[in-house]
Amino acid sequence: MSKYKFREQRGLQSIGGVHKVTKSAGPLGGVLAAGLVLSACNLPSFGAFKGNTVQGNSTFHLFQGFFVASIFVGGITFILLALAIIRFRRKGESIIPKQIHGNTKLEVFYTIVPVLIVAVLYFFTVRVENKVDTVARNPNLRVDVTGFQWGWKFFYPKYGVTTITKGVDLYPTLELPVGETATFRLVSNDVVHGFYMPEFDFSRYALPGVTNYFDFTPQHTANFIGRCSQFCGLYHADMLFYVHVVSPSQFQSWIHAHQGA
Amino acid sequence: MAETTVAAPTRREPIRFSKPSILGLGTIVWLGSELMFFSGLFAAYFTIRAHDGSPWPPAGTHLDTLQAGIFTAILVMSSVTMQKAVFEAEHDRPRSAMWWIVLTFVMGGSFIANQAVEWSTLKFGPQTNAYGSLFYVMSGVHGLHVILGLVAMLFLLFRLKGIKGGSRHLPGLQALSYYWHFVDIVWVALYACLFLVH
Amino acid sequence: MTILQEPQVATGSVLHEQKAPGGFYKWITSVDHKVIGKNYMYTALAFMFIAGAMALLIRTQLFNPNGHVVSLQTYNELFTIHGSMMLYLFAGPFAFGGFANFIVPLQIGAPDMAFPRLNNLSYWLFLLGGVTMLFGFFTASGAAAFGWVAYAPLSTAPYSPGPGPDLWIVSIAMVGFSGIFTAVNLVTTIFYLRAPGMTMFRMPLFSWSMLVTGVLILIAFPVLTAALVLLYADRHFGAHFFSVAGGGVPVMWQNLFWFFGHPEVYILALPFFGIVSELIPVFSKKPIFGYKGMVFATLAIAGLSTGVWAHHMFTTGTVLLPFFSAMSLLIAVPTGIKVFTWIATMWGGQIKFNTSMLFAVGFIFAFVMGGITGVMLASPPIDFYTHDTYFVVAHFHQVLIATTVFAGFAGIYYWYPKLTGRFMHEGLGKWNFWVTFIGFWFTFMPQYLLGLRGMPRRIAIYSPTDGFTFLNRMSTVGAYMMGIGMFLFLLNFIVSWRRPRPAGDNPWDGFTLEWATSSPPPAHNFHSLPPIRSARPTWDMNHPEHADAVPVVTGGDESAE
Ligand code: HEA
Ligand code: HEA
Ligand code: CUA
Ligand SMILES: [Cu+2]
Repeated sequence: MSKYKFREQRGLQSIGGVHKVTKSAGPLGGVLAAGLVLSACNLPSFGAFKGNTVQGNSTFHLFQGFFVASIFVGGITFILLALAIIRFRRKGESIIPKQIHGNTKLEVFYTIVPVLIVAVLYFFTVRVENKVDTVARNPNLRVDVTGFQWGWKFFYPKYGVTTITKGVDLYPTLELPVGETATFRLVSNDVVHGFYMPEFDFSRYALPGVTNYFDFTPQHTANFIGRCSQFCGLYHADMLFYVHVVSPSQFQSWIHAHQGA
Repeated sequence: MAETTVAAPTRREPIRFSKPSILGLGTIVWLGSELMFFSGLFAAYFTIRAHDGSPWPPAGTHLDTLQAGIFTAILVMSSVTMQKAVFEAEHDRPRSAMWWIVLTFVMGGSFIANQAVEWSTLKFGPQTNAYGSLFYVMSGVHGLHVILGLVAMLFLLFRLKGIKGGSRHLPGLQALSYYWHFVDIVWVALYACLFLVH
Repeated sequence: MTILQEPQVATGSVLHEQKAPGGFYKWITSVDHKVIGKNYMYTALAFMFIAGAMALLIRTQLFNPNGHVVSLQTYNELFTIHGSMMLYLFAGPFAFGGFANFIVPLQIGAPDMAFPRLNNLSYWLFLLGGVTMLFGFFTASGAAAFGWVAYAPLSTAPYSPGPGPDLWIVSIAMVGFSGIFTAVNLVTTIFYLRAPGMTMFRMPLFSWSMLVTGVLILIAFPVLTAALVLLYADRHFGAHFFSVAGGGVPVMWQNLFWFFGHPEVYILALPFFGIVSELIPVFSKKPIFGYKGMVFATLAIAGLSTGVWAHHMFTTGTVLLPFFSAMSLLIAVPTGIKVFTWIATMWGGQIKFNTSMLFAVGFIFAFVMGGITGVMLASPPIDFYTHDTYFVVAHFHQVLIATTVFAGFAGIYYWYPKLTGRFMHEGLGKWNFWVTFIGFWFTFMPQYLLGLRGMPRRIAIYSPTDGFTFLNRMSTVGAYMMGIGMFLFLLNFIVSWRRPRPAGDNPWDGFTLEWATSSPPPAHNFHSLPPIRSARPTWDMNHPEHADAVPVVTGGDESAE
């Protein structure tokens, strides 16, 4: 509850807390954290969706951070490798180079540095993970989602409204009001499905025998296709649904239109 | 190396403290994988038990714990007789070793016979509930291991028969004894889980 | 069973006299580790080509949106068998049945494997298992179609009826037993049959990798066997392990499977790390940089890999995210040690860029790329986003192809002279490398982007409005290019066999014992062994002025670990 409030207060500035962290995380962490902070401002998206929810957006920023760290780590590794193969190519007559068996200091160095990098990555991972996994005690909206072969059922218990897959190409709609926190309750009737919202940067399994809960707080109005990500049999590829993120008033009129039906 | 002692059939000294033969070592490595196999089954057992809110085993499951307990004891005792056979062979007394193996075989055989009786009289099957599935698969897979051990004993008996200086087959016997002890210990754990735990 | 007495290697003594009936019969009944090793390699490569052809079909289907090349059902069978065949029938057996069988006894100075006949049995189980899997395609209801991971309840009888899935189960069990037997054999061989003087810490890194791989197989495969037993019981005896209604637990399959499945991917990777660790020093003319560090890194990877399985299950909502995330991220550290060690080994060396070395360097580039995206996946929030999308497909193909194909081919080009006494064609080899390597990036880089743009894996069709078309086409073109590269490999293999270029016994100035015997080696491997006083006995023998070891007298007892 309190955790959730805290998040709400900070609103859309999901990366705001990062600045405080930089001081304590050590110099190397500082570099990486700086990367993460930068990413919050003006880094490219690296091909990813920006995560159109409060939760997904912090995932997006984490992704950017990881990406920057990857460029850094991969870049250094590739440069070293390229230097080695360019500089030490055998030219002409073969001579026997100095037989070096190792260097403990260097070996310790290239063990410790990755440990530190990984520690920093882990730190931010856990922060974002907690945020993404928090479930509100009093959500504005509840949606019960059921996956089945091969479709979805969305049930809004507060309004008694249901949308459901009605056959091939007759996909259901998941309507969500922008800016409001919705808690999802996810189950499956038969096999494992993956409830996948690409533009929310999120997916979760619909598992038989397990009930999963998670929150979305959409940030902008949008229309996109939701999918089933976990292979579930013959028509897995066709287990789609429409997602509409609309203004609260549009949402209300949508609900009313469907309450009649 | 220690191994040379195995190759010297005239030695009268017990040679059980020697480094295991290559066959023995291979068997021990193999038993490591067997351990993981049964761990997989036990993991399934505990997972299902943890998810099962109702009483355990489920109501209506009638087991003859005492009878199974008696045959558990017999199986455990057969480990002792098996070890005795190894000692005898290590002292180069293949005849005596043979008889101890026969005794072991009879005890193991009675265990399997009891299991057959048990399976035919139990009121539940693998399809009754998850407990039933566990019961039949776990005890069944173990039973297969016992049968395999019995078959191996038969083979060894035929090989030992009429051979003077039977220590040529000592590595085989030792290896079989490792296997047999392993199968017995696993059964004790299985018995505890399937019959005793409530 | 042939009981070996002592490591009587140095005398080149005879263990199991091999009568040579000649021809095909000899080929299939041989218990010589070298023949079995070659059988394994050729068979595994054949499976690779078959599974690769399936990959091309997959890619052809995805070239156009709403493709009509194959039906939905066929597509599902194709990726299931493609994945299963590549992992169970190519990658594992290629390395652990092929290379390990052929090379390890030579490297440790052993006359053969500990249990030659068991070795032969392993091979036959493997081949039969493979044929069994392929048989699925000829049944009325088709082959298994539930992915190589066979998630329950999809893989149980109500959702996947018919004999195809059963054949798959039986096939995996057979191949599993084959792997376990080989592991028992190899581990015992390494513990028991090392030549005098070959202490554990003088053992070549390739043999170390195989030892650790063997142990991982013994830990992981039996758990898969157990899971298969449960699945089979559900399918045929009406058991309820994976049905909620009967009190079963479906996610249990995932836990059991990935407890096997994650170590499995390192079972596939470690042998190839071993190959690269052998040939980079040889072609750089320098010893490996930090031998012990490499050994411990290998052990650390194996240890960690048994505790990360749930990173495949982050999105189930049923696993401890922080723990499994931390363990998964940590694996980057020992793997990094390996990468940096390879670079440091080349540094200051005299690098000879033949085909083998090209593949080894190509391996490092590709592997680091794939490994780093693995680190991204190890972060649960990022995995929530990318799980079961083409991002994951790209990750695992990069690491898998880097290891099994690039490092694997590096190994073939390196040891082909030892296998046959001949070189492979260098010119064709370079073409083989460049075409495959460039095709590789073309195939899989677009897939990362596809994953980020929301394309799930295991879908046979997508819509033209999804915006996936262009990237998929690029990937398909890349795949065809890879196919041509692979074909060049086949061609090279055949050309080198028909037009022999004699290589001599030690063409690369190798370091390890296999280069101290003839090419191909005699039936019992060695007529005589050089003294073993370091990790590089053959080098020491050939370059006394640069030898690692000061010649001191060592007792045979040192060979005990
Ligand atoms: C050869 C096989 C192989 C290898 C080696 C790896 C290596 C790694 N893999 Fe991968 N993986 C697979 C094969 C492999 N994987 C397969 C087949 C799947 C999919 C299965 C399926 O669902 O079908 C999969 C899926 C997979 C997932 C699940 C994704 C999902 O389904 O959502 C995850 C998540 O954590 C993951 C992580 C990792 C990590 C952290 C490594 C690490 O070991 C990588 C370590 C290497 C490096 C990091 C590069 C070199 C290091 C440095 C240069 C040092 C410095 C680096 C840093 C400090 C970051 N892998
Ligand atoms: C070592 C393992 C390995 C290797 C080497 C490969 C190699 C390739 N893979 Fe595969 N792949 C997997 C392991 C591997 N894969 C796994 C585990 C899965 C997951 C399965 C699942 O979802 O369950 C998968 C899934 C998978 C998919 C995803 C399917 C889906 O999710 O819908 C795709 C799609 O592009 C793909 C493509 C390719 C391509 C283009 C290659 C290329 O590199 C192939 C190159 C080789 C060739 C092209 C062969 C050359 C052929 C000839 C020269 C013709 C000769 C013809 C005959 C002899 C008949 N693979
Ligand atoms: Cu439902 Cu895929
Ligand atoms: Cu993994």
